[in-house]
Amino acid sequence: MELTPERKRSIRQRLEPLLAALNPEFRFVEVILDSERRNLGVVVQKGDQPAVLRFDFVRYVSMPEAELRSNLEEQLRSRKMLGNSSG
Amino acid sequence: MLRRLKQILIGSPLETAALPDQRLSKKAALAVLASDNLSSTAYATEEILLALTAGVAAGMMVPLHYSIPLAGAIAVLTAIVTISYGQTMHAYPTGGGAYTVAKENLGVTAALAGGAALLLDYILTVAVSVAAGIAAITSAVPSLYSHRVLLCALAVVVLLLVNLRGVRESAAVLAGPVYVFIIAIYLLIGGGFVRYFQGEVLPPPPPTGHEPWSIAYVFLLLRGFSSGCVALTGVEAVANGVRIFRPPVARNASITLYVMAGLLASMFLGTSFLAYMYGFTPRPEETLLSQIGRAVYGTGPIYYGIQATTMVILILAANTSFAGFPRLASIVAQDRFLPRQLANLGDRLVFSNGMMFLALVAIGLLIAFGADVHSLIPLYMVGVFLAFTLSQAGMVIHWRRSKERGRGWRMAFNGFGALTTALVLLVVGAVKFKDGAWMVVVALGLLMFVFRRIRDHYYAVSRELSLMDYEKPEELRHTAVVPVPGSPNKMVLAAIEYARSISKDVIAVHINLGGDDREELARQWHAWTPDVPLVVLESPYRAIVQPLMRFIDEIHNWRDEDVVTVVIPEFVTGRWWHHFLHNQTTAYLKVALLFKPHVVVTSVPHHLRR
Repeated sequence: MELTPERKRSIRQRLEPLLAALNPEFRFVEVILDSERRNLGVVVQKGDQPAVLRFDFVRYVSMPEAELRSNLEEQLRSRKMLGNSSG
Repeated sequence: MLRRLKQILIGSPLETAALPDQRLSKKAALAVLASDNLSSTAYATEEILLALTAGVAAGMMVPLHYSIPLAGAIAVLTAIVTISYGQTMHAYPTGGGAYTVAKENLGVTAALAGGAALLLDYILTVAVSVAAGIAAITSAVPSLYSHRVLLCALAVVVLLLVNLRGVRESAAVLAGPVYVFIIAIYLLIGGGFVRYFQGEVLPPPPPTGHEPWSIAYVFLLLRGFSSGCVALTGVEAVANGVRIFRPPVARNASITLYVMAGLLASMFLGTSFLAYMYGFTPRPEETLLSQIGRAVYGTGPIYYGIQATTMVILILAANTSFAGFPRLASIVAQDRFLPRQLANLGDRLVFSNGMMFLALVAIGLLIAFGADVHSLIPLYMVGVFLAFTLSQAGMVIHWRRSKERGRGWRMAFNGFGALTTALVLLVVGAVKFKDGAWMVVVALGLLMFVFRRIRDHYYAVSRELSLMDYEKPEELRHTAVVPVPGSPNKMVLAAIEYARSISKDVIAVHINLGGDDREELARQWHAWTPDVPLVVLESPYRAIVQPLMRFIDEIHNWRDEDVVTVVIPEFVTGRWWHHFLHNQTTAYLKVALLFKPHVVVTSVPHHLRR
């Protein structure tokens, strides 16, 4: 399922600064949504290591910025893509 | 092209229904199964003399006429083993020899020891026979001596091809040379005796007494005896390959076995007598048989005929292994102690995989030992006599459980056979241990360990695949990931369409090695497949498979209870050599994905017309 370009752009505009704040090496690659419109996947990359960060699409829309930031941080840390200091 | 080459080399496939037609008459089976045993006439006497002359070289007084009683003792042992195997064949007409007898009567460990010993014996038979055959040629044409390893490898390949054509075909090729060899040896023995008794040869000097009895002296004689026991190798082939005979199987096999033993004993004793009467001792550059042939018939056509026949029979002796090894390996594989592929019949109703494996290992041995017969023979004996002993010991238990008439004397005979061969095994093991027999002991242990590990694996597989604890999964959902090379083309779009037909969630992924214009790529992609997202991953180290595998892992964890199907677009070239003009990324990717759990791999081929 492909998101509309506008929706993709808005997700990117929301997440890219958060990622950059965690580590400027993170590159926003793509955003995907499954056919059930429930699982949102945000593809990011650092060096040669890709990650697909998962979000519940409905929750994501209404997720406060602080929670989103901590969710991102937690997912990246679990993949060992973040150092101990969260940048 | 490969199929045509295969057809030329080994012939057209045979129907399974033709299997009974592949069974052999006694005459044909003697050619296939006795070539190993009879060919040992060419080197058994030489092995005894080599052991005795080693004592002479060490300063001991060893009368070389002792080779005669030693040969006599070996002939008696041949009779014992032959009669024992005759009984085995009546009790186990299904074949398998020591492995089957030990499995039925002594337990799995003994069976594995017997199986390992026999399989090793077959491998060594190929190596020893071919090395000895080529030695016969290099004796006549010494300039070929430096090429002996290559000649041996070529001989093994030719034998393999002949055997891959089928049992009947190999028997047809073999029958002539085996019978010609028998005639040639009797011609040599007859001519040798005639010349000797006509007084044309100086009689050997009368025995001058011997070394005082000591441990070293006894050890030397035992060494001579155990070296000569190489003559017994191949006796077991008939019992192992009973199923090669036409019915009545046991009767035909027994008759063939007794004929073979009679021929062996007479030929071996005859050449041993001649070697002594003509006063020949082994020489590294010329075989004993060649020396006798030269002395009896001069360096003329008969001599060359005998040499050529000897070379052919020695090489063809390896054929017994090509008949026996694959059959035994198939029996062991059916019990899941060897890979299942060894139990499959090939195009020509022979166990082709077993044959190819045998040829490869034998060539490896010949290379490792520089095709030197004397270095290979010490390896040969331990396995043979272990198999003899286990087979006879198993038969003792068999008769004890049996209610058949005459079981008492049969048990006694097999018991005596087991005791005798066990003694020889001990002697051979002790005297040949340092010469290389230790390698066989190690190899036997290793093989038995491998057998068990293979069986454990098959057991684990069957347990894991068993439906005993099966729970039907909930409805499957899966994400299809299509690795794409860049801009869309027919091959890529075919894969995307296929992926769309099996999943609502299709993701295309491209690994950018640095040269792609991301925006142009996105534009092209959107024009052809607007509803499939394209993920473009950067690969700073120019690797393709590794970032792709990481992405697939991530996609697998993206949704719960999700199966990932990787749909690989690939093209198939019109000509086989075009294949080498393209990257092999697809092949690497398939191999890497094979080991990933919960990932299904589907290939969508696009067949190129040119």
